[in-house]
Amino acid sequence: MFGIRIPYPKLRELKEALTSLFSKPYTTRFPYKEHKPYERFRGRPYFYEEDCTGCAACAQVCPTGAIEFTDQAKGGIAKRTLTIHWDICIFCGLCQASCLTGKGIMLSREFDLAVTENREALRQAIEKELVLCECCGEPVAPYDQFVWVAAKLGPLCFSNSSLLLFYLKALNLSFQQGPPPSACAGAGLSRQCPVGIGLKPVPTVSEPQRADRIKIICPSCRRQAVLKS
Amino acid sequence: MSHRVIVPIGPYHPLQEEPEFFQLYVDGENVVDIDIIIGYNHRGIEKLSESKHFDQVPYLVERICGICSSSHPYAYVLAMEDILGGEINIVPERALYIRTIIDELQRIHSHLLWLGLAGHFIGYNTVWMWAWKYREPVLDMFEMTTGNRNNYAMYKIGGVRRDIKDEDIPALKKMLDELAPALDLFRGALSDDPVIKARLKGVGTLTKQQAIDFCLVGPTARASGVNIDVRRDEPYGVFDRLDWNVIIEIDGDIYAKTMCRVLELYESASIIRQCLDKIPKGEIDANIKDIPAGNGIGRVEAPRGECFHYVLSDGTNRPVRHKIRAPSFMNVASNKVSCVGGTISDATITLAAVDPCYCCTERVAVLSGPEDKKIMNGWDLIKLSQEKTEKLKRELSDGRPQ
Repeated sequence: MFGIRIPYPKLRELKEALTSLFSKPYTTRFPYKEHKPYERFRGRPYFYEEDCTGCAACAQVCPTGAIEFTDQAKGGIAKRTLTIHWDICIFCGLCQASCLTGKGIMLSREFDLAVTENREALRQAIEKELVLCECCGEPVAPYDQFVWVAAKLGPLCFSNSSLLLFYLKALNLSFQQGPPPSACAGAGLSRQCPVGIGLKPVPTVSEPQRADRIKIICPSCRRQAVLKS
Repeated sequence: MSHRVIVPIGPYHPLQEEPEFFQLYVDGENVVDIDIIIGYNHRGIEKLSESKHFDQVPYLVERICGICSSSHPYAYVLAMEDILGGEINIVPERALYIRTIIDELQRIHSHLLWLGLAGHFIGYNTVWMWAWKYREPVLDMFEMTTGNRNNYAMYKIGGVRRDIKDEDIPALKKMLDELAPALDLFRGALSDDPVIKARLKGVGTLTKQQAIDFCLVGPTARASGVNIDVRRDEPYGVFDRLDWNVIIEIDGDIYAKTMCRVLELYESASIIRQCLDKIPKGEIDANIKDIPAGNGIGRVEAPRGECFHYVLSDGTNRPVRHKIRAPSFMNVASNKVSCVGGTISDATITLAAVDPCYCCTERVAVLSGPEDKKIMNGWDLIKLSQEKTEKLKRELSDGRPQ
C-alpha cells in the first residue's frame, strides 16, 4: 500500500505488541502490594493448642520429619513437647489429614516464611500434660488424648481399666462414690487438667503386682501384671 | 588444516534436570563428536524411598523433578495399585478423572515452559515471555485446586487427596478458553514465521531408525515418527475413555519436536475439557489400609516421555525396593547423533530439544591448548545461538523485496 509489504507474521506480532503496550502489566507488585493466595493454598501449619490432643500422629506421618515430639517424665514434670520446624516443612498437609481431631494442626495460607537471621524463630512448640504409669512412672499418653478417647468411646471405655479409671478421675468420681454409668456417658469432660493428674510425682514401684491391673498403667506394665496373675 | 578442539559443557550442565557433562569435539565450528557423561546429580532418592512409609513416598518422588511433579507420584501410585490389583479396580471413578485432569494440566504447563525456553535459546525472547505469561494461569489453577503451584500432593494410593470442587470447574474451563488464542498464536508463529523455520528445520535431526535404536520416548520419539504414547498403549486414568489423538511428526528435527509439543497442548486442553464435562460425583479415596507383599510397575506418559516406577513390597509399611527411570535418561543419549554434524550454535537448542531445564550454574570452557583457554558461561552459549538467529533474520530480510 505504502510501498512496504509487511508479512503477516510481523503484523501478528505487532498486534500482540500493541495489545501488550496498552494493557496493564501482567505481573503484580508483590512486596508493595499484598498478595492473597487462593482459598485452599497450603501454607505454614500451626498447632492449635485447644484442639490438639498431643497424640503425635502428625509427627509419625510427617514425610520430612518436620514435626518432632519429646516426652519428659522426670523431676516431677510430665509433659510432651511437640515442635514443628517450618524450615523443614514441605506443606504437604499430611499432618492435618491425619490429625485425630482434624483441628489440632492446620495449614494456614501464609506463604512468606523467609527469615534472614534467626532460623530458630521458624518453629512452634506446644506442651501437653502426660499421664504417667502408676507403676513405672513412664508416660502412658497425653491427658488430652485420654479425654478425647474417653469422650469418643463413652460407655465403651469401661472395657479398659486405665481408661475407665481416668474417666472417673476426670469426672472427679471414684469407685467409692459409685458412679452412675448413665451420668458418665456422653458427659462433656473437662479439658482442664485437674490438679494431681500428670503432675503428681510417681514413686517408682518395680514389679507390677496383680492388683496393679486396676490402675492407670502403661502397656508393658499391664502385660507384666497380667502375666504375674 | 583441521583443528579439533573439545568444548566441555558441564559437569553441571543443567539442560536436563539431572546435571550432565557434554564434551563437544569441534572442528572449526562443526561438531564432529560428542561425549555424554551423566550421574552428577545422584540424590539417593531410591534409597531414601526405602526409609519412608508407603504414604510418604509420593511426596518424595514428587520432588524428583519440579516440572513432572505429577508424573512421578502418579507412576508410583500406579505401581502400588498394580500390587493391589490394578488402578481401575481400586480407585473410585471421580478420583480417576481428577488424576487425569492434574496430569494433563501438568503437561500444558511443562510444554509451555519448554516452548518459552526454546524461544529464549534461539533469540526469540518475546516467545519466552509470552509462553511463560500464558503458563501463569495454569499454575494459578494448580494453586486453586491443589493448594500449590508446583508440588500438588494430590496422589495417594487408592485415590486423590483433594477434590476438585464444583465451583472450580468453570474457572478451569475459563482458563482453557483463554489459553486457546495463545496456542493459536504459537502454532501460527511456528507454521509461517520464515526465521523460525530457517533456524529449526533440519537442525538436530533424528531419523525414525535412530529414535528406535536409542529407545527414545515421549515427544522426542513422536517427532521422529515413532508411534508410542503410554496414555494410549497402556491406558491409565481415563485416557481410554476420551477422544484424543497421539501427535506424530515425521521429520525428526527440532521444528518437528516443537510442532509436536505445540499440537500436544491442544490435545491436553481437549482432554481436560472432556474430563470436566464427564466428571462423575462420588468418593475420591478408596481408603487402602494395607499393602500386601508383591511387586508392581507403574508407567506414566510424563511431558518428556515414559516415566517408569517399580516397587517391591514385602508386606511391611515400607518399600523394599523402589526403582525409578525418568524419561530424560533415555532421551539424553540421543544427543550423540543429533548434535553431530551441526554447529556449536545449534548445539544449544539441540541439547535443549529433548525438553531440558536450564539453570544458571553451567560453565562452558572452550579449550584450544593449555595456555589459550577461554571460559564461556551459559549466557555466552545462549548468545552464540541467538546471534545465529539474528544472522538468519538479516539474510532473510535482505532477500525479501522491501
